[in-house]
Order: sequence, then C-alpha cells, then structure tokens
Amino acid sequence: MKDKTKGVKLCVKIVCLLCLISTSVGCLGARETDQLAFVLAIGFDKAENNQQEVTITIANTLAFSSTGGSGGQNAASYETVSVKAPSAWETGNLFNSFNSRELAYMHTKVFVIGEETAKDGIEKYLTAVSRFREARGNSSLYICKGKAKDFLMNNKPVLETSPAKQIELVENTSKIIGYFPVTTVNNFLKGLKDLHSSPVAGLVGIHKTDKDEQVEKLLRETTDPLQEPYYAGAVPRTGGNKAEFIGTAVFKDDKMVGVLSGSETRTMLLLQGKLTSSMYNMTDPKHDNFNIAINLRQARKPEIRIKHEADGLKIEETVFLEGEFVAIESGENYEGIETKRQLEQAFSREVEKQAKELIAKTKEQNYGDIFQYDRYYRKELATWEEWKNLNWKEIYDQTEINIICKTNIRRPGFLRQTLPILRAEEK
Amino acid sequence: MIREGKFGFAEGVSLLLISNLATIYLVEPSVAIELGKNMAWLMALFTMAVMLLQYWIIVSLMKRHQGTTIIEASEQLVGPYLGILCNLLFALYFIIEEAILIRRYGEALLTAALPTTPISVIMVTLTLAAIISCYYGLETIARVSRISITFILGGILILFVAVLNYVDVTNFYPLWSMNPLKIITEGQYKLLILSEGLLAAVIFHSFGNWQNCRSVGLVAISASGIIRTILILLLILGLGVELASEKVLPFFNLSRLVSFGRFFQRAESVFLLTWAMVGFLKLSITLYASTVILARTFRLQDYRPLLWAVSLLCFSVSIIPPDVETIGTLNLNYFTVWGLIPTIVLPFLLLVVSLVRKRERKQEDTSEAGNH
Amino acid sequence: MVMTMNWWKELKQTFTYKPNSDREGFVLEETPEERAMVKKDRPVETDQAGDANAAEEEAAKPQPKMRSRLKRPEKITGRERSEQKQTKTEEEKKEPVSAKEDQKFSQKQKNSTTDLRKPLKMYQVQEDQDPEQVSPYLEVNQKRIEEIYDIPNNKDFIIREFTIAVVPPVKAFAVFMEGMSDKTSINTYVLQPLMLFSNFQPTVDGYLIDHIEKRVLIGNQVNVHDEFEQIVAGVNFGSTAVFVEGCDQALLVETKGWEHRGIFYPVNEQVIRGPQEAFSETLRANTGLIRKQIRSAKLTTEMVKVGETTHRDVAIMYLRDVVNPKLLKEVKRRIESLQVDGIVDSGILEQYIEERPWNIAPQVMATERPDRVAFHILRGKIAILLDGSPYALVVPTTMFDQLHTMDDYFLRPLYGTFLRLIRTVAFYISFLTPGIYLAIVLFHKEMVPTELLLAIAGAREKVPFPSLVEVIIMEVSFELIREAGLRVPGAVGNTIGIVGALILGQAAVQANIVSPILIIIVAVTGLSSFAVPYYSLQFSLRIIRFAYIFLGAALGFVGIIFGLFVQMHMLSSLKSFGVPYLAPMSPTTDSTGDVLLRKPVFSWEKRPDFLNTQQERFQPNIARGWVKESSKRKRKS
Repeated sequence: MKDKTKGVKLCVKIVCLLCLISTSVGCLGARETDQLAFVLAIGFDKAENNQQEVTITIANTLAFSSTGGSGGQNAASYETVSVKAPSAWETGNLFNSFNSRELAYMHTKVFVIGEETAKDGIEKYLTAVSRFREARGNSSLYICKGKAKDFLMNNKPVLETSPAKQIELVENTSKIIGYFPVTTVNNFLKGLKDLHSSPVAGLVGIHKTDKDEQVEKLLRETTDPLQEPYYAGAVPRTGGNKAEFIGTAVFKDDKMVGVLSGSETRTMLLLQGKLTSSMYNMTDPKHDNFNIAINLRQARKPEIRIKHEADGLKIEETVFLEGEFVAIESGENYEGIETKRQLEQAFSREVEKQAKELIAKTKEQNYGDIFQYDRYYRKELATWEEWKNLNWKEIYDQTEINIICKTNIRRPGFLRQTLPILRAEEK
Repeated sequence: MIREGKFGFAEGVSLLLISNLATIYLVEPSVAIELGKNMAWLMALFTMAVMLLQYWIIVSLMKRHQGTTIIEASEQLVGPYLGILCNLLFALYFIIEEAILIRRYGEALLTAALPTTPISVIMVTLTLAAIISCYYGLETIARVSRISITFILGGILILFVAVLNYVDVTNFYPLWSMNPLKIITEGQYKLLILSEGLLAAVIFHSFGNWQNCRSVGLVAISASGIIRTILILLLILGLGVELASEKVLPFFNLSRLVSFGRFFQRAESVFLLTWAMVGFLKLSITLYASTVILARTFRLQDYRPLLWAVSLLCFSVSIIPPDVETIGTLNLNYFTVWGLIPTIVLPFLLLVVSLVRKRERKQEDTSEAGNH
Repeated sequence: MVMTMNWWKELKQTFTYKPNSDREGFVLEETPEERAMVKKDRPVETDQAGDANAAEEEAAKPQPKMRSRLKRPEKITGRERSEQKQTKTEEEKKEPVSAKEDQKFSQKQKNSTTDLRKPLKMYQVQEDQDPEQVSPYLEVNQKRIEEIYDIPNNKDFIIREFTIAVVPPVKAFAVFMEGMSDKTSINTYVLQPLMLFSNFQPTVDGYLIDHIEKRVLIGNQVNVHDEFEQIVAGVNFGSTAVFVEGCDQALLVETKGWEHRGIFYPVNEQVIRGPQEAFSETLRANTGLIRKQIRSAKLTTEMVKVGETTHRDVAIMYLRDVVNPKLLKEVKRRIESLQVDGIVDSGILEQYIEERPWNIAPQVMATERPDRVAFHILRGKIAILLDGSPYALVVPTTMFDQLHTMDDYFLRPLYGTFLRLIRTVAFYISFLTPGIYLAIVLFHKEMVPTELLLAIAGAREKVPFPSLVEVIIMEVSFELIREAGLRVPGAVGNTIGIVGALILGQAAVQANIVSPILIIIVAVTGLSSFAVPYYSLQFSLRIIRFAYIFLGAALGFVGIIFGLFVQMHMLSSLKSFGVPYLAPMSPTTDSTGDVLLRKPVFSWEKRPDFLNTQQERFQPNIARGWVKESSKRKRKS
C-alpha cells in the first residue's frame, strides 16, 4: 500500500517535472527558422529633411528549399525593401509594419553606405554594428557611388541565387584582379581606431544606362593600358548585372573624402602589400602599337624602410612582383634572358611611376596616408603617449616616399618564343 | 572526517589550470590591455610571476603542516578564535568569488549565445551544475577536469592558430609603451588571480604529498600564464589595442574573427562550448572550496548538507547587482583588491607565525635539553 | 512541503556520491605516485579497509573450515572408508557443494553408518527411515523417488525396473530424466552391463554396490551416494541413478547428453579478421573455447552454484598468477552472496553484480567471443560464465574497453587506430547530433553557412511543427523501426528496417511532416549508434540522446554543455569492480597507449595499470626477439 502511494507520488513528480520542462522549452529564447526573416544586405542612405533611409534585402527561404514541390522554386529568392525614419535604428521597427517576420541580422553579408551619408561620417553605423550581437564584424563594408538604395534595389545577381553568395564570390575576384579592396567592418574599424592613416573602403555602384559625360571623357583620355581610370558606376559596358565593384572610397577619419579608380586601387593594394594577384597590361616598349599582358602576383610582403635624414623623414618601399606572360602581341622575343630583364625594368619603371602619381595625388588632394605607413612608423616610437599624440598626416605630407618595384617574370607560359608568320609582302 | 578522495598529477594540473583559466574568457584581457596598452602581455607575465610567488608561499606554509589543510593549520597556528575568523574569511572569499562568477558567467553566456533567455534561468543552470558537481565530490570534479582539459586546450589551440591569419605584427609597437611601475600602481594588482594558491591549500589532502602539490601548482600556473600571455598578445596583434580594449568579451570577439574559407565561418559558438565548460567547472570548484572550508571549520562529517545553503547564498548575492557594469566594477574595484587579503596577506602572515613558532619551539627544545 | 522534501531526498540520492566501501568492495590505487605513497603509509588507511574487508570475507564464508571440521570425525570402517573418501574427493572436484548440504551430508552419514547393518522390519523401515536417506528397501526408495518427482504425473522422469543378473538375481531400478540424458549411453553403459554383463561374474564378492560399481558398470563417471538430495541433483542434470535392492546407497552414472547448439559464428560481434567462433549455451564447451586460447595451467576455472531452484553453474575464469587477488575476492564475494531463486541468463547475473543499477553506463562487459575473453583474461581481468548463456561477462570494464572491438587488435596498428578514430566520431555523433542540430537551428543560426541555413529554413517552411517536435517524431519513429525490425518474425525482419526507414522517411518529407535535413541527421545518428560496438553502451547513448534533445532545445549550446558536464560527472564517479569507468584517461594512469589510438603490438609492455595486477609486465621491452636493440626510449623503472 505504502509502496503504491509512493509510486503514484513519483509518477506525479515526474509528470510535473516534464510539464515544467515542456513549458520552459520555447520561451527561453529559442527562435524557429520560420519566425525569422534573414537580412542579407543593408544599405544606409541620407534622405531629405534629416531623415535616414535604410534598405534591406531579405532572403526568401522558400526559394532555397529543394523539395516540397509547388510554389517554392519559382518565387524570387530575395526581396529588397526600404524605409525612411529619423533614425536608422528606428527603421528596424518600421519594417515590421509590413513584414511578417522578425528581422535577423546574423547572416547579413554586406553593409552598403551611400556616398552622401559617407561624406557625413560613418562611425556611428559601424560602432552600432560592432556592439550588436547579431551583426557580424566580418561582414563586408562598401561605399556606394550614388545611393545605397539604388544599388540594393538594382543589384540582380545573374549566376547566384542570393546577394550573399554573390558578394562572397565577387570578393574572391578582388584577389584575382585587385581593382577594389575587400573591407570588412572590423578592418575598417581597425584602421579607423588603431591607426592614424586614412581608412579606405571598397567602392560599388550601379551602372548608368545613359552615357555619362565623365565616362566619355575618360574613354577619350585613356591611352595607357596600364591605367584603368574607371570607378564603380562608370565602367563602359553593356549587359550583365547592374551592380559594379571597382574603385576605392578614401576616408579621412570617418568621413569620405575621395575616390580612387581601378588602377589606383591596385597600386594602393600593391603598396599596402595586400594585392594578391593582377593582370597587368602595358605598351610594348619596342612597339608602340602592341601590348603586353603579364599576370603578376605579389611575391612577398613589401619591404619598408623608414629613414630619418637631414632633410626630413624618408620612406623607401620595395615591392616585389612575379608572374608569367599572358600575351606578347608583337611577337618580340621577350622570353630571352636579356630582353626579359629589359622588359621587367621597363615595367617596373611604369609601376613606380604610377605609384608616385598616386602618392602625389593623395598629398595634393589632402587624403592623408592611405597606405598605412604609420604602422611601420610605430617602431620609431617609444611610448604609447607619443603614438597617441602623433600628427601623422602632417608628417606624411612632408615625407618623401620612394617606391622601388622589382619585377620578375618567371615563366613564359606555354611558348618558348614567338616565331614570325611567313608574310608575303616581306619578301 | 570528510572523505575527499585523491587524485594524481594530471588531474591536479587540470583542476588548477581550469580554475585559473576561467577569467581569460571574461572581460579581464580587455581591462589588461586598456591598462597596459602594448605592454599588457608583459604584464600578464608579471601576473604569472606574482602568482607563482604566492603559490610558493602557500606551499611552504603547507609544507610545515603536512597531513592537514590550511583550515586546520590556521587554527593550530593562531588559536581557535583567530583561526576560525581566518577560515571564515577564506570561506567568504570563495563565496563572494562564486557569487560574482555566477553572475559574470551568466551575463557572458547571455550576451554571447542566449540573448533572449532570462538571466535567472542561465544562472540557475550554472548553480545547479555546480551543486550536482559538488555532490559527486572533489575526486570526480578533478577527473572531469582531466577529461575536459583536452577539449578546452584543443579549443584554445585551434583558436590561436586560426587567428594567426589576422595578426598584424606592427601592432606590437611601440615596444615600451608605458611606465611599468605606473601600470602596477594604477591597477595591475587588480588583475592578479590568486585564488588557486588558496584553493590548493584547501584541498591539500587530495594531492597526496606536498611535492606533488607544488609541482601541480607550478605547472598549472605557468601554463595558464603562458596561455593568458598568448591570448593578450593575439588580441593586441589581431584586433589592435584600441579595439581590444573596447570589448566586453575579448575572447569571444577573437573567436568571431575565425573563418576558414566560405564554409567554416562564424564558429564562435563552437568555442562557446569550451569556455562554457570552463565556467561550469570553475563554478563547481569554487562552490566546493567554499563549502568544504565551512564544513571543516565547523568540523562537520560531510560538506554536502551545506551545499544547498551556500549555493543559495551565492545565488542570492549574485542576483542583487542591477546590471553588468555594477558587477564588473564590484569585481575589479573591490573584490580583486580586498581579495588580496585572504589570498596573499593571510597566508603570508600564517607562514611568518609558523616560522616564529617553530623557532620558539626549537629554542624551548634546546633550553629544555639544556636544563636536563 | 513534506512531499517536496521527499522529492529532494530522492533527487539527492540520484546524484549523491556515497562512498560505500561495502559496495565498491575495494579501492584500487590509481596512480603510480599514489601507490608509492600508499606503500609508504600503509598502516594508515588502505590496510585498514583491506583488513575490514578480509574480516568480512571470513565472516561471510566460513565454509572451508566448517567443512574440514565436520568431516574428520567420520567413522567408516575398512575398505569402505577409503573408497568413500575417494568418491567424495572426486565429487568435490566436480561440483563444489555448498556448505549446508555438506554439513547435512556428513551428519547424516554418521547416523546412517551406525544403524546401517541392523536388519529392520518393514514397519520399522517405514517409520524410522529418514526420508532424505536411501533405504535398503527398493520399494521405499521407489516410493520416495515417485514422491520427489511426482511420478507418474511428471512425465520427464522415467523409472526403469529390471533385475541384475548376479547370483542370486537382485532387483533394481534406474531413474533418469528424458531430454537431459543420452539414451544410448543409458542403454549401453547402464542397462546393458547391469542386465547382461553382470552375469560374466555372477558371484558377488563383498558388498553388492561395490561389486556393481567396480566390476559391472563401465561408464567413465560412476558415483555412490546415499542421500536423495544429491541423487536428485545428479538426475536433474542428466545422470542416471540406479537403486539396488538391499543397498542403502545408490549409484549415479553419468549419462548427460542433451540437444544443444554447436559452436557457431559470432552474430553480434562480428570481425573481418580473426576467429569466427562464438560461445554457445554449454558451459563446458565455453570454458573449453577459452582454454583453447590460453593453454596454461595458470588459468583457473572456479565453479559456483547460483540459484536456489535452478542450481546453475557459474564459472569464474582468471589467470592465477596475474589477476589482482582483491579483485578476485570481490568477484567471488559478490557472486557467492547471491540469494536468488534462479538466474536464467548472464544478463540477469550482470544486473545482480553491478554496483550502480541506476547509472546509465554499463559496468560489466558481455561478449560472445572467446578470443575477446581470452584477451582480457591475459590482461588480468576476470571472466564470468553462466551455464546456458552464450555471453561471458568480463569484469572490470572501462568505457574504452566497451568502445573497442577485436578487429582493432587483429589489424595492423594504423588500421586499428583508424577504426578507433572513426568509432570515436561515431560515439559522439550518436548521442549529440540531434541535440546540436536543435541548438543550432534554434539558437546559433549564424554557425551554418548562409546558403545551407536558407536551405534548412526553406525546407522547414512548410513543416507545421516546431523543430523540437519534429526531431522527437523522427527519433521516436526511428526507435520504432529499430525495435520492430528486431521483433518482426523471420525473414521480414531484415527488410522491415530498410523498407520502413526509406518509405517512412520519404513519405514524411513529402507530407511536409519533417524536413529532409532532419532525415539525414536522424539517419547519421542511427548509423553512428550502430557503429558503437557494445550493445549496452549503444542503449545508454540512445537514451542520453533524448536528454540532449531537450537540453539543446531549451538552452542551446549552454544546455548541451550542461548535459555533457553532468554526464561526465556521472561517468567519472562510476566504478566497475573498483576500477574507475573512464580509467586510463581519467584518472590518468599508465596505459599501453590503448585508449584512443592503438600502439603497435610490441609496445604493449605493461598490463593496464588500473587493474593492479600481480605481474605488471605483459612482455619484455624488446618483445620482438629478432630486433637487436630497442628503439624505444628508456622509461623510468
């Protein structure tokens, strides 16, 4: 009898415990995937009347399910919406006035900031990002030429199902070509807070269908194949996705001050030591109307020497490039040891010239140091106070910067040499 | 008497190492970097040296009182009343440490992983784990530490290797950033973690002999000191001084950096597994220490009945502070400073008393011998 | 209030670590340093415990002393005495009889020997005859036998009456059990000699029963008994009892023989490489299989009878010069102390001798492989075999033993290590995956790559249940398939598992009841749990899995860690016959590198340290005699 009541009691206890557990499940902060709308990209813009406009791209998860049959696959895989509010964070609330689901930022891949907004300063957005648990510090940060809203609304990746994947893959091309820098929120903040030099961010834009005067002008002026004067939104092309990734936005503190073109960006990355590889084109030094294409990569980190001399500070940077021929249009025998050395030297001079022009531009336009030379200047300092109170921009403007390029073309590709065609008229 | 069981070298090292590692996952590295700037890593080494010194003091105290723990030793040395007072101070230290740690780990877990979960639920989970663990006894805690240390060290190692990608060596400079003396006087003393010496003295029985106790402690403290130094170094090199000193959970932030290719990204939750484990273990060790000190002081047969009372006390104390900042300030400005008394001052005084007593006894012996 | 208090008490008990020395039996020193320590201060602690144990032991089994004391005063004259002694020793060797029986036996022997030669009247016989004793009157014996076996209602026992062809002819009858005895041996070794060959030498010289035993019966084991209890025990085990008119003793002729299964392939512990034989239900065949592996005089088999009704033999096998004597004592203590009516299988015996029945982990390892048992006996463990059970129990066992298979040892070290690593992964997957899946999907969505998360979310979109319910539905139906596949009769059983899984999974996905990714997770979990080699361990993991499902759904990774934390405590506090369950790892002891990785065979120099064997060494430092010098680092001691 006693045992029986004990058993009953035990059962009651177990049932109570199970009830307790089952009630506690689900109200402890668990969120099902179908309660959430995953935000893949966010754009910040400044609107008129001191308003903020925020654009978000939300993934439509139904489009990603492989089974379940009807409906799913035909739906658009993402949706872009925008809202205006006095505060950027207020818009998050407004989204839910027409959106059925809670916004989840844990998979936000990219933050796009409009040019106008960037010129007013972007630190407030970035610190919010790094404070907010869900947002990721390693999400990319891009500055949009024009409005971020236009960029996100018009960005329609052709080959990928979602902008998240598109961004990931596009960033991979930066490693191959080097026409725009990949900047994450973390990197930008590091440059902004830890260093005195000017931070940079990648530049994106939307292709303009109407012929821009500026583009026309650039097209007319460009003759040197080593130069790539285009920036996002101004690439002469037809077809394809409207979004373009090329160029760099330069900041002074957290305010955008200028733009670098494709080839300038490449030079900047090269001097920073962040260029992985790129295809360089140059005019054949011996034949003016022929070009040479070389695939080069940065062999090792650049060597930077900082010298205190009588006439002020001097920075000497040596960059190393190595790679292989892609095309020699003229058929000149550059594969030979001597000719190759001549070509390498000619090429090096070109690169040095470009670098010098870029440095001159930064000084002239008052951009400040975009190459982060102050990282190396730290060694010259003794204490934290000195570093803290360093007026790097002034020093940079007065410093003479010498770039030495060392190129080594290691492989000729599949051809040992180019033999001329047996032409009729030559006989 | 309280039956505590015994453990060998490996378990002992794991126990003390985990106990010592617990704070690297919280805000401490960030505070250290804010204080020491680029020299924070050197300061971590300095902390290690002080910890070793303190451990040495405690071991030499316990060497003179083999076969007992510091609780009995203090009563032998300074008499029953002062001794009990002294022991109560030790207990209080561990109780407050437990209370603060429950709250801090709870807040850390909430911030890092469970943003919408009520804090009380997490804290109850932590306390419950500590109670369960203490019921199984010290021997089991040590064995569990031994098992989990593999995973914990593995996690730390993976993180360190993965973060190497993000290291920028120039962040290391300027080399001598601050005046070391100034750093120490300004607050480096707040970052000393000295509870391991006292802990070792409380569970002195279980080490078997004092040589074992000494080698265990020295190995554990050096290992944790090295890990701490590397972590701070990586924080400085990976995030930079300014960013690193902004963070609430620097270890977690470091793990957020990790990514291997497109697939293995955002793996901070995996590292969460390791540091939550450390938290659970640290809490149970501290709860055990506080309970067992009380039980020994009052000469109880078993410490287990006290567990409920002590853990309830710790839990109630820990829930009082209204926010994270308060608990952080309490910890850094009061607990760590006043905590130096039971962890380093009292043992040192006890050692002095012990030395003096011994000399007296010797003199007495010799005088007695002379008289005879 | 009282109820809650009780509840707390129970909860407390579940988690309480109560060091019960009586239960644990003995404490093994765990580390070399500690052992050294203990040696130093021996009289302080351990010896006391040991003494206490020893004293207990003495108290628990005073049999040998009693037995010897009681046997000495036997008075049997002349030839008879020596023969009786002989038979008794024989009998002892074969089946050690429990003390009680022995005591009775000798006491009654005294009585019987005194009034043996007085001729009695029939009424006297019927009145005075001790019913436990064989009577010189055949009818009395027959009546008694019929009474004992409830003949003729009980059809298993057959009484065959006949006449022995001596001069003068003597009436006799034989009793045997149908089914347990061999018909041909009864015909050729009992009936034929008694009825035919006995007239080769028809004159009886001396006692008739001696004459029959010595000169007539040609069976290889013939015993003389005068007590029914023993005769009945013999008949119950297949022997044939022969009662002869005028003799107050009976002959027990060994005619065992029953239908049994031959030695067959191992069914549940298959290996690719290695012996392909398994234990069967015959104890003697099983011990023989082990002996076949270890051909040593040092291998001892002790027999203990267990079960008041079933009288089953339990064999305890060990290497005398290796095994830890304390361990042996403890094993024997536990088995001998059992007071049960019957033990049908070694599975039940296992539950009687394990320490913590409520701990989830199995504390005794059962195996059907003789080579595995031999391997463990060589390392210093003890095998317990129950008659009629095709599984041998090996004690003590650790979790790592249970995770190993013989394939690991039979294959080359690299292959073995690979197998073990795979199995380690399987071990974790088998109880963690569904919990971790829930934790990720509900709490840590950022961990999954974006595309994959979107795919998971998309698949979940049409599922009406919360993830937790979905997982539980799938897990329960998987367990159903598993159980049903085992229980479905005959040939259908093999197919129902596969068909059920495939069809159910496919249909569930199409019906939008579960998402496809979950099918993968449940399937992988199920596969992994099958990769865990020990069936009981599989069970424990299957059950724990549900706990992790709830924890993961409630608190995400924090819940999972909470679960791991508690589970680790449960496992580390566990002991199997005094050996910590996670032994070579925690507490860390010297091992042969035989835990996660598998060292090459020539490195197995020591027996597992945690067993505290008498001989520490398994093989010399240079086991391969043909290698001139050891390339190994010289170790301490």
